[in-house]
Amino acid sequence: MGILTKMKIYSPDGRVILEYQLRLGRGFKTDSEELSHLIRREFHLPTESRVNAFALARFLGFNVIVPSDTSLNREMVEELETKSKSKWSAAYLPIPGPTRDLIIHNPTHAPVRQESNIFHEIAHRLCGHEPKGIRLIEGLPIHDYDNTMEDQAHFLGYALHIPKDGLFSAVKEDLTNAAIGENYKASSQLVTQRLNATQVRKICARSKAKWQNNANTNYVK
Amino acid sequence: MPSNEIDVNKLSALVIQKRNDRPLRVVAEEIGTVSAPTLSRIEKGNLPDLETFARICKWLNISSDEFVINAPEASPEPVLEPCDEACAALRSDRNLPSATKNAIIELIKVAQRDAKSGNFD
Repeated sequence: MGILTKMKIYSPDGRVILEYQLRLGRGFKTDSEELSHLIRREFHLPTESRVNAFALARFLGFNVIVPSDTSLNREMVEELETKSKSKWSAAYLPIPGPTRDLIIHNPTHAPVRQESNIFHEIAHRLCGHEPKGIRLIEGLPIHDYDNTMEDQAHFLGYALHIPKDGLFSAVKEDLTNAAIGENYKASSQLVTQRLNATQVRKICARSKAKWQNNANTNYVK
Repeated sequence: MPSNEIDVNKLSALVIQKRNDRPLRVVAEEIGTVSAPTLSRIEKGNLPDLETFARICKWLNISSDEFVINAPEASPEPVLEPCDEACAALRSDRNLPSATKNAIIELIKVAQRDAKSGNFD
């Protein structure tokens, strides 16, 4: 069993805004699914609801901005949003003191990918990932998450984006992957990965077969 | 002594070739201790960590030396140390062109300055 970690997220002024449990080893996936549902309950939403990534980031104490929101010169903004647009997704900037940390994201990505990028950065925060090492870009220290952390943020980010309860509802309503993607503002690739990771279609099919079998048995009686 | 880099483009190309459109999950299991998302990132040109790199070389049946390229003499890369201060975390391609690096560095510096001035509140 993974180490059960009680986590708290604090607002910039020191209030606890979210408390939850998250095992970072075995049990991580189960806890991630539950955290996705918990967050929806915090928003007073049904657990299968869509949650806007930008709203969630704001709730958790981030400011989410794009390069043109800063005082970066126009030339460099253009570089990041044209020639370099495929080279970066997002940056997380911790800001010392009672000021919201920043997520700077790439506004040229498709809306579904922007949502995914924000959920990924949120997931790193929710996992409590601390810097393990740095690389330098032209002398500026940039924190790199290791592969385990990236995989954790990947899974949790996807779970935040499309909750497991939402997948169950969608499959029971016989929605296509495309329709699910539209509901959650997610790419079809993400929907497919979520369905594969949760095995929701298989579970529902087994449940339906069992119900039909019971119904037939009772009818024969 | 020249500094060495890993040819991630060559690594990525060979992985894609050997995977041959098989599902990422299947190939990741074949390699062992590598996840499908990590494998996907490698195929997109991201440099894996040392253990993953070694496993992939073994799976490809190619020596790791095949991926080392001698770069022109440059200032030595500082030893990586645990990050004591808060520093930015960036999701990007590992091998960034100069123009991209410069723009990102400037963006991070400017954004942090703007945030401390309360420009985003």
